[in-house]
Amino acid sequence: MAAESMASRIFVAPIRDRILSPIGSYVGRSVHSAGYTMLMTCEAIIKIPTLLNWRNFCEFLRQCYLAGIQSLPVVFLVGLFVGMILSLQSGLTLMQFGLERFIAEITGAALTREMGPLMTAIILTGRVGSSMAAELGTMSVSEEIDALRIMSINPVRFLVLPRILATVIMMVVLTVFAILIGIFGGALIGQAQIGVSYDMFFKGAFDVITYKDLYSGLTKAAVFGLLISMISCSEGLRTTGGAEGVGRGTRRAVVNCLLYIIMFNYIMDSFIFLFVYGR
Amino acid sequence: MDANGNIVISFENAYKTLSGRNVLDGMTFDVRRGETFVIIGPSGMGKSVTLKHMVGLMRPDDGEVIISDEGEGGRVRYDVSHLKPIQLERLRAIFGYLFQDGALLASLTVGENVALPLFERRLHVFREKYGRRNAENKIWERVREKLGMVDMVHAIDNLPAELSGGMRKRAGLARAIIHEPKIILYDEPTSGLDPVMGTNINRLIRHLQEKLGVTSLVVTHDIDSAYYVGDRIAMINRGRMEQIGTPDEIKNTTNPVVRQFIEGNIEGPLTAGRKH
Ligand SMILES: Nc1ncnc2c1ncn2[C@@H]1O[C@H](COP(=O)(O)OP(=O)(O)O)[C@@H](O)[C@H]1O
Ligand SMILES: [Mg+2]
Repeated sequence: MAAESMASRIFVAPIRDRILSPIGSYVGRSVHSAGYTMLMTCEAIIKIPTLLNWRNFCEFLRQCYLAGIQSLPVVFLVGLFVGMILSLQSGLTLMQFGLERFIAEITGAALTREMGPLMTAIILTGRVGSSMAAELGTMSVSEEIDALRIMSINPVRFLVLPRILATVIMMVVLTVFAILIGIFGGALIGQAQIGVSYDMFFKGAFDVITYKDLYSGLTKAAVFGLLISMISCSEGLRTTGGAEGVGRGTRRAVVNCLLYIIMFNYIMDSFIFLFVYGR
Repeated sequence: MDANGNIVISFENAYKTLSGRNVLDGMTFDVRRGETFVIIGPSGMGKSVTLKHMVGLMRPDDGEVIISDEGEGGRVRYDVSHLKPIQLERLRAIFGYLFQDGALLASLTVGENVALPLFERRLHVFREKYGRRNAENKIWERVREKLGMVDMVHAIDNLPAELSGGMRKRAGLARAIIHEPKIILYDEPTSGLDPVMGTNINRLIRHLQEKLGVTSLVVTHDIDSAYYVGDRIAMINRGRMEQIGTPDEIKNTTNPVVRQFIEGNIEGPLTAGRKH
């Protein structure tokens, strides 16, 4: 009896309290959080017809402007440099085999299938996801969300739907833009440092990009946009605990966005590999 | 229980646990039609939580919160614990709610904030009444009227961030009464206001009650304001009502907890029992 309780004190209790219980509550919280996020997103999708209302459509356009147009400068710079880096790095390796004329193909394909959607998603996580989580979080802690509920204005329809839709659409638009800028950046390096002329580079890059590349890349972009906006809005709506809570919610939103983007990137890549390219 | 039709809000042994604390701990009280019921008590004692239970923003873990409404189709009884979405919407339409810090939407101007409930929920009513052309003008007319009542017409085009706390609260009040509700909940209506504006708001609360017959619930720790606007005053302590009485009964109370609170003494049963 005494020995048992001693064993329990030394071995069982610490494992239970320090390891099992935190893991359990973490898993519980994550499941709850994922469930809430899914339900919220479904509700937003059901409410899409309300965008036919002019007032709601204006809010959607405003969100498009905030998420999309305002992100153009950053996407431009990052796209340009990523294109230059890709071109430079692949050029370095290909030169060893005398195959540097293929840098355009490699740069174009990499940008379309992978780097375009990914870098745009990372930029929008930082620019748009964090600001959505902070904005909605502030609204939660200052009772603005409660005020909407009292007025029987559905916060998901009023706040979340325009943000999700704007982010998804702007993700796709910005990804196209990033790919084009990236190819341009690659061409600059091709001409200046690798010895591939602009003509050859653009011809090579645009020839190699197939419809399959384009729509698989853009599908990824749309899914990333959905992930960013749904995770950020969900964190924002569930924020409690004042300014500190807003900070916590925003941090969780950004970290989760990056995690899910990378995981979904891999998962979608393997599906695309299998079903689109049939390998 | 409310067979005489006089009771509009009724808390019956309501319990609510929030972040491990029993915020409502057997809360029981009734609010009668047309009266101004004031809830006083220290910060963090669950005054705002009590208000949130009335409009279904929170639901009791145990016990009952009942709202009765005298509508055209007779008496409707809302049990906050069991409401379908459509009932919840009807219940909330009965209420105007002034939040502690106004809770204006930061992206809209004062005027747009006050107009929001009408544009979002009542545009069709205005269109039926005044025609498509005039509906918007009529809404803005109403917005100006309500902003006038809280002396805020001059700030109609300002953003909330450009206003002082007191001005935000007044704009929030205009929004709370824009749909001419039957019951108005005021969460600390005079805190953060200068004394003159505080008196104005107190008068407005009385005015709305006397002229329009609304039932008011005022949460405050401004004891003078409580005496001025209240028909009955209740003091909340540890999740339940310590005492409920008329202003005179509260002024002359022998309950040591209430005495300590209204006199603002540091020593007493209120602070002795506090676990912090
Ligand atoms: N949404 C919530 N989640 C967790 N705890 C809450 C929530 N709302 C209020 N509380 C807690 O309930 C208690 C009472 O809060 P409140 O009703 O706001 O006090 P007050 O009487 O000052 O208005 C506080 O301790 C607060 O921390
Ligand atoms: Mg409060």
